[in-house]
Amino acid sequence: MEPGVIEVADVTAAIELFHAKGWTDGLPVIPPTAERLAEFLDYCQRDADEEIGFYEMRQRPVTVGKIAINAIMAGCLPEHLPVVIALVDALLEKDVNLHVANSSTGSLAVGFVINGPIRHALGMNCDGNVLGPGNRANASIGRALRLVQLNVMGSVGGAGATLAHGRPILDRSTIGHPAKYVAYHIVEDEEAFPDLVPLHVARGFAREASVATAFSVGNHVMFSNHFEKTPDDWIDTVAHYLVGAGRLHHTGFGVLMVPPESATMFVAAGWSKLDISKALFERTRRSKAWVKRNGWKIGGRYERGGTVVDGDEEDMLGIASSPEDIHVVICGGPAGNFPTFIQTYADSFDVASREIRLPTDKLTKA
Amino acid sequence: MLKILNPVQESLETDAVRPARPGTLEGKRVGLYSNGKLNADRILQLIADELSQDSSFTIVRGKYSPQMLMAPDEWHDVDTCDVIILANGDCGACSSSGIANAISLEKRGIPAFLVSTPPFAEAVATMARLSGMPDIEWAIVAHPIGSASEAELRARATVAAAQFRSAMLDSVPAAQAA
Repeated sequence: MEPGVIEVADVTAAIELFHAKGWTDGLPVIPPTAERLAEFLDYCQRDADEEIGFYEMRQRPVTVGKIAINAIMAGCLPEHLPVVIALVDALLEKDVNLHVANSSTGSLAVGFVINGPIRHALGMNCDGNVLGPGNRANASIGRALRLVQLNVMGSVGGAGATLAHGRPILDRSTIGHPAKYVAYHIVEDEEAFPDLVPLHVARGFAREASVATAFSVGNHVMFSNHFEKTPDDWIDTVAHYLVGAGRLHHTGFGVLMVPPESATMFVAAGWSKLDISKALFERTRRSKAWVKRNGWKIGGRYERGGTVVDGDEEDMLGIASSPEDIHVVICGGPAGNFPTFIQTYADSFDVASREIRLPTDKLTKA
Repeated sequence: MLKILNPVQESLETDAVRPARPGTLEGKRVGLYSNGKLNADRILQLIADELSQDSSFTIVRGKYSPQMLMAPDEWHDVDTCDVIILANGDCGACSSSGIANAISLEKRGIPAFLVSTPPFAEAVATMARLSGMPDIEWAIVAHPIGSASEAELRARATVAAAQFRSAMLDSVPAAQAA
């Protein structure tokens, strides 16, 4: 038998084998066959051995073939694979700090934003329940990332065992994270507010490009902003809670998910996305001295109640490195003023974007 | 019958040679490298204080990433050191990246010694194997380091120093041996 090929009695036996080996996230997977892998590779017009990156910390090459096998298991269709590959490529960029999401007690998940025409070609959901559940492309693309982290990168979680199916536990999450199953799978609604610049365009890509933006996620906060009648009030409420969320840093990023009900108010008032980012950035800035005096803490720096020293008044902290690092994404259902902010885990984290490489003959479809 | 595919990517096997241990610290340069985690600088100093009871050495202070594998040119003064102690490794990312960084120093020719805690022993051992140096030694002191009190830190530093002597030095002082 060829290396890497396992013979089992039937589909049920295959599913059970994957559970026994610990090759799943705890849920059943689609058994990956050589025939199905060939369909995926043929769709992408890429070789199984092509290396997308090298996970140096664990000395593992990350190849198209292994990504595709895990995408099949996750429930992906062949046309989802280019998106998964672009996302894995982006996650491997140094500043994403994927190793932290793959190993930390801090229980990080990963997340992504999809922009461009591929959203519609794949029937992705940018509307109600954008973070799930229910949409196959959103969910299976997100789940594929988790299975790649597990099987290709070796991020085995404990799941109650000292040794997980005989394999060492290298994902040392203390609490875990529900988004470790299918990631924060965000899709931008680019059409609802034509005056607002989509994320990928703000990041320098052509509007007609299909782009995947990936990042590591600490956690998220959702706000109920139904009493806020003006953009300033809206920003103040969000800023108030973010300042107290324990994650003020010198650097980092945030993703602000703005639902249509909120966006309508901003557009009517003539605000751009950058105006939103700038206002939120400014109203979440605090000096190290303020943090110490008010009993908060600086994420990862533990300054609660410390003595104010020279330079603390000028040493400014916030929720991101700059206004441009607060990425505003329009998404969600038509009703509800529930903005949601996705927070970086610590400083020195950033997002990474990749254009989704579509096979030439599939470009017109997308 | 159904033929299915293995989804797992195994790590590439590497095989690295460890540099010679310093044997003694007398007159040597000892690197205290902190990854900025809470109490890292403090436990490094306490370990150096313990070790200085037996010998006289120069301390070189440096920093390394608690998350990432350091690029060769990011280490600054490491090449002036005869041995390096790294701390902390008391969390998931800083224990695994800590041993990977320690091994990268050993591959560079500098003996290195990470200070970690029991919850991460298995992960650190695995990372050592994946990095081609399964026989590297590191300190395992009581968990946690980051939120330990000063008295607890002193006790952990004493344990770490004893493990350092055993791993890196030719002989342990009579008081320690007793």
